[in-house]
Amino acid sequence: MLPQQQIFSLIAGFAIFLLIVSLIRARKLREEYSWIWLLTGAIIFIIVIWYKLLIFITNLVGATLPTSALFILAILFLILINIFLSVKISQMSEQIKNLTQELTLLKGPKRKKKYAKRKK
Amino acid sequence: MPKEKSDFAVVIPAYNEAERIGKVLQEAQKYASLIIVVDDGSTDQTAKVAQKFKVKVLRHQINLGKGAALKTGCEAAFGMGAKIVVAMDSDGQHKPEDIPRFIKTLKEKKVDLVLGSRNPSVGMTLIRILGNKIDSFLIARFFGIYVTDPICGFRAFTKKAYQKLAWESPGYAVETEMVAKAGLEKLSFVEIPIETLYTDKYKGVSILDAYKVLFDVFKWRFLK
Repeated sequence: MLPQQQIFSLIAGFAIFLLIVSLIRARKLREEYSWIWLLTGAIIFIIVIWYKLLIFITNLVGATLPTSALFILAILFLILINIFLSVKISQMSEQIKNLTQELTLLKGPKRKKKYAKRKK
Repeated sequence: MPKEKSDFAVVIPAYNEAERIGKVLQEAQKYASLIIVVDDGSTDQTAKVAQKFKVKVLRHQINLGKGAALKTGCEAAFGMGAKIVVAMDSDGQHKPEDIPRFIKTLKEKKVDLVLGSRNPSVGMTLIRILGNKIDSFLIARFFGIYVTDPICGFRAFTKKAYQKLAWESPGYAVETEMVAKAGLEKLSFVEIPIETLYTDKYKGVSILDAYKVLFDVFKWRFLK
């Protein structure tokens, strides 16, 4: 790996780390999601420092160049992240739907006691 | 407005129907003593217009879709003691004068479900007729129930049937899901012909919605 590539990758990894820490501190990113991005930064860091690992991964996935292996890993990672976030969005949409309906019914007409009890 | 307290409620989900819902409610009041309008997060004056009439108005803070609004309305209706719910659209395409026919058929035939069936030769575009036919065919094939108009929103059902139908679709797939579940749960039903008045070609189920519904049919059959 060229020194310029190493420096650029290290800066990118460090920038991701700083961004995540600042987002957590500003409470814009919940801690339960932050670990994914901290792990991403750490992986970038490890690959830059330990180039042999990248060569090993390149051979493992059957890629001809280390850059191709990196692209494959990056695309796979982004696909997994998208699936994970889609699942989270689906769960939250369902929760929002249920909450909205419950709120509407609570604000709405009085329900018969027997029915309200049964629903609980 | 009927003076006697009836055992049924009319549930009308509404989204941005301020222009038309007034006329629908004015007519519906003549045939039902309990009408529940569920304003599904409209951005216009739908709720305010509905509140001018002697109806119960519920309001979703955000737009959830027709299926979710219908479910909220049904929960409220059965919670208030209704034994039967008549569901109808708020855009004026259904005639409120048909409400007694739904109730009468449900009671006389002693069925769980009465489904409205529109005449495809009146006002329906060819693509909608085709979509409806494909929907009917797939539901018959996968769920063992054949109905001529599975996406018509004008229908009546009992409390017992509602508990078995327990639809999950928040959007326009609700009608199809109800029919599919009726097939799975072996609920008894009859279809009655209804007249429809199409007032706005841009509202209601779009072609994209129709394709989503078709996808849902496969999902209910193979992914559940």
